[in-house]
Amino acid sequence: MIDLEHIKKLATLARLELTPKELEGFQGDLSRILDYVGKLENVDTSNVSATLHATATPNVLRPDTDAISTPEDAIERMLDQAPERKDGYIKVKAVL
Amino acid sequence: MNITSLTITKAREGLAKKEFSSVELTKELYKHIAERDSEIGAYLTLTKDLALEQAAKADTNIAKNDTAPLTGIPLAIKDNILVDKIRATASSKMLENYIAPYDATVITKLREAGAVFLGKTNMDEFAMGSSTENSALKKTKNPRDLTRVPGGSSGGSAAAVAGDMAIAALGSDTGGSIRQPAGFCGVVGLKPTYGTVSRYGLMAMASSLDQIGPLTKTVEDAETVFNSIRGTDPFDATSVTAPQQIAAQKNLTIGIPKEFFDHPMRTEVADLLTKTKENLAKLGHTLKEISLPHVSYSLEVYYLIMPAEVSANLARYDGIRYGHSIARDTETPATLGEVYSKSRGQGFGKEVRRRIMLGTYVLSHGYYEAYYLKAQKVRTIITNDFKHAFENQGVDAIFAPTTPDVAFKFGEKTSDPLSMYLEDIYTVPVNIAGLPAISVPAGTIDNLPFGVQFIAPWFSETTLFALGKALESTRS
Repeated sequence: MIDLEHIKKLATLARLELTPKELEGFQGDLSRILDYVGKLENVDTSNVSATLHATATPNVLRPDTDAISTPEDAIERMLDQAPERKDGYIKVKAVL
Repeated sequence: MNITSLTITKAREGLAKKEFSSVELTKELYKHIAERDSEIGAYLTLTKDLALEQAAKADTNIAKNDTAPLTGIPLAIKDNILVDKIRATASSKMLENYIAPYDATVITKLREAGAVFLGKTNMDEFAMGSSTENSALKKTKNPRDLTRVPGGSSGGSAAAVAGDMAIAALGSDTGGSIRQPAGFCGVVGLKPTYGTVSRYGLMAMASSLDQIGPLTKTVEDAETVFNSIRGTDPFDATSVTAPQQIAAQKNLTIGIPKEFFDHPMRTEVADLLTKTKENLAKLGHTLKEISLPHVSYSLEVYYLIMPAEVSANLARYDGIRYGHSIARDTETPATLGEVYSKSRGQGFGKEVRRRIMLGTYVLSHGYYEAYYLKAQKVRTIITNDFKHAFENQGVDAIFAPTTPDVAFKFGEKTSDPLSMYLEDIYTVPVNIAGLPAISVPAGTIDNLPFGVQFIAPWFSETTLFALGKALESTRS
């Protein structure tokens, strides 16, 4: 069973506020799921490399020029969805 | 004539012959939606103004002899695919009021193809689930049996097509989310080869596994939609240039993986699978037993890789730039940390939070090698099993069930997350290897649809269409 303190730490890393009941619930869920996936230990992967892309092709490059210009109204519509704005910026709570 | 029950092919013929107009077809579908959808719940948003505008334009083009296959054809779009200026929620409270600021590439292509967008369909929240029960916004019922789930996560799209509330639909598939609901609802569902269809404008779930694909009434329709949405896209860094597809030969060798069939199955399911195999053999195809020795590790691999990628992809929903945010409440003071953790805690449903937590764990310091990296290595081994089957065991395609059984009842699998995960046992290996696969209705069990899968080598969707059509021919 994963330590409850560890679950709390994960919730902090994931920036998720969870109730004590939810934390306990996830403690149980995660422990069970990790037991289940633990079967992978039995597979010999000593000579295998990880899959980074399913249908791997060489790095696709393009010239470093503007590929698209976002329409002004689209930019405004994007910024408009932010909770707080000021002077054309998105406003956030104090960082420091 | 009930034009809402037409296929793309038949509807397009009807439009060409001026038997009805696209505007008429669109209006008939909205009429049908008004009649049925309060019960089925497939749609979250209807885009009537847009649809009628598109339909009118299509009618003008058809009058000028436009013969393109999707002109004037009304489609439903899963709500994790962005349609400019239309609400896109991913069935989450996090994005309940989010308006898409641009079109997904597939949407741009479909607009150019003259298609009509009826609306956005319900899904499991952020595509996490196999029943659409995880939607935070609405319940969708299987049109074939209203006490049962439509499958997930593209349950709304499957129900819209099966319920004749759209001629066809788009869904997305990360571990089976197109194929499984297609199987449960009695429609066709295609997951293309990874990289063949652009993911630009698809809200990312697991970036190395996601693909957009069609849900349709026939295999021919799936082929039509696939050909319209496929293509290299500079806006999707994982997009590949697919090699030219070779038309499938006449008689194919179909691999039957013993690992998919050597465990107990309900008699009715086993019987239908046997009958399907016999029908394929009667058509001249050869069935050959093969082995995919590591395929039984697929779910474990998936439930490590997918949550890891989910935890990274959903980090963007932080209450800062869009979506649910406690910062919208300007009265109540909050710290930056609270904006993140409360907005996310409130905006995300339980399964989403569960998978983010799991993903955070497997990527965290001290666990990354044992879990995530290990899973990516086993992924290579599973992919090699498929490669070996196609290249060395002489099979052109692989046959499998789509699901362990027919659509289950609401609430049957919700108490234990693992039991829900096991629904994906036949579909997940396909995403892990990046292969194309199609689910085709094979028949019914107790009047409920049951689908079977064909899996083809990378970039061989033509083989899937050939086999799918062959299966359809045995059922007509």
